[in-house]
Amino acid sequence: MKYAIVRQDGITEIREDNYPLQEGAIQLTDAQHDQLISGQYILQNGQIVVNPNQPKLP
Amino acid sequence: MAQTNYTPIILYNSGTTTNAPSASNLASGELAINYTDGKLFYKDNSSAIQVIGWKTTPTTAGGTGLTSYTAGDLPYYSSGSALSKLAIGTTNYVLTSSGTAPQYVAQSTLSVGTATNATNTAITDNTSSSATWYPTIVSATTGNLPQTTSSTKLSFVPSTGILTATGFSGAHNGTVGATTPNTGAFTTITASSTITPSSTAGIVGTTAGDNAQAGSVGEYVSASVTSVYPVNLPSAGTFVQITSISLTAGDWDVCGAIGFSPQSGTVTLVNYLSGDTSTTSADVGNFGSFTQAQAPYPNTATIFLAIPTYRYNFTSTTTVYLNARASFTGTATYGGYGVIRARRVR
Repeated sequence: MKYAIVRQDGITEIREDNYPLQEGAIQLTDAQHDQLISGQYILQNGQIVVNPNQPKLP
Repeated sequence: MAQTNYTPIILYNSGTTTNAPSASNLASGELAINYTDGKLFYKDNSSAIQVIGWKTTPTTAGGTGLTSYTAGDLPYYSSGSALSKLAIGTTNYVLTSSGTAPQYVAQSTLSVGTATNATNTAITDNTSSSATWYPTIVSATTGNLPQTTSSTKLSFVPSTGILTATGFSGAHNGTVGATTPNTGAFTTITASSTITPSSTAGIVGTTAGDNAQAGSVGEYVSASVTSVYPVNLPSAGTFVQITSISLTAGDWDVCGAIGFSPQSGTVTLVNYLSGDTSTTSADVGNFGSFTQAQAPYPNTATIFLAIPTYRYNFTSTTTVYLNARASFTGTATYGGYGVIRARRVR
């Protein structure tokens, strides 16, 4: 399953595995996963919202 | 009491139970009766008193000694002057012997022995019955004939020849384990030696877009940190952990990618950028798991490095880290982010 989890240092990790879901993890759909990976969306207060600071293309 | 105009014939008689005439009481050809016991006596030519009639004929005189029956009763001799009665058995029970008397028992309690005839006639030769039969094994060494009760363990349909069981073991002739390939379906397969699929057909992969379960070949594990939340990389070229994954025991191929991006300030000179996967956090990985790009780079560009695939073969759950470092001069901070991916290959 795909999920997001906020580390103790505040960094959001997006993960995928078939382990039991960790406490505090937020399960993601494929679309939500791709949105967060792109950096165009962020996780804010448990909600996926548009990143106000859109990443620059390389 | 005699009818009018008729003379009653009254035998020598007694109403006392067990009373019987003696030889001196009867003349040859004379009859006597005990009307309580229901016995008729005469004296034979040896002057011995004999009984020639009974109300209830005992077994000693070829009778049953029985005065009543219930439908289905089966008379049999056990002892004494009367037969015993075996009441009718439960539906579908069969008549057997206890060794001393007949008895009705359930089919499931029977021991079939070699059951040669039962196998040939009931299973091999029956091609018309489409009903499902459910043979039941009574113990490790005994069984009974197919029954019509349900079973979740074993069933057989004679008309199709399909035998369904929850599992098979040992050598088989036929669909399972034969030298001639055939089609089979299984819930799980355990082999003690090699499994050799067709060299061209191989093992069919998924087309459902689903995921291999944990522990199975093909299991996928990944972790990502995006450019939104880069990890700060010190300028001195010290390794920093970007993210990590936990891998259970198995043979894994692990790879990754790292992005290096100036965050703020001015980068004067980038000396080198490195990344690796390792079982140690914030450490340089083994040769083959490590990549490095030498500078100089345009000091405002985001640089991406691919981390090569490296084999990790674990016998217990182990964490694999994605590490990165950047060596640069200037007033900027440098951010690192990336993804680490693992695929169980064995």
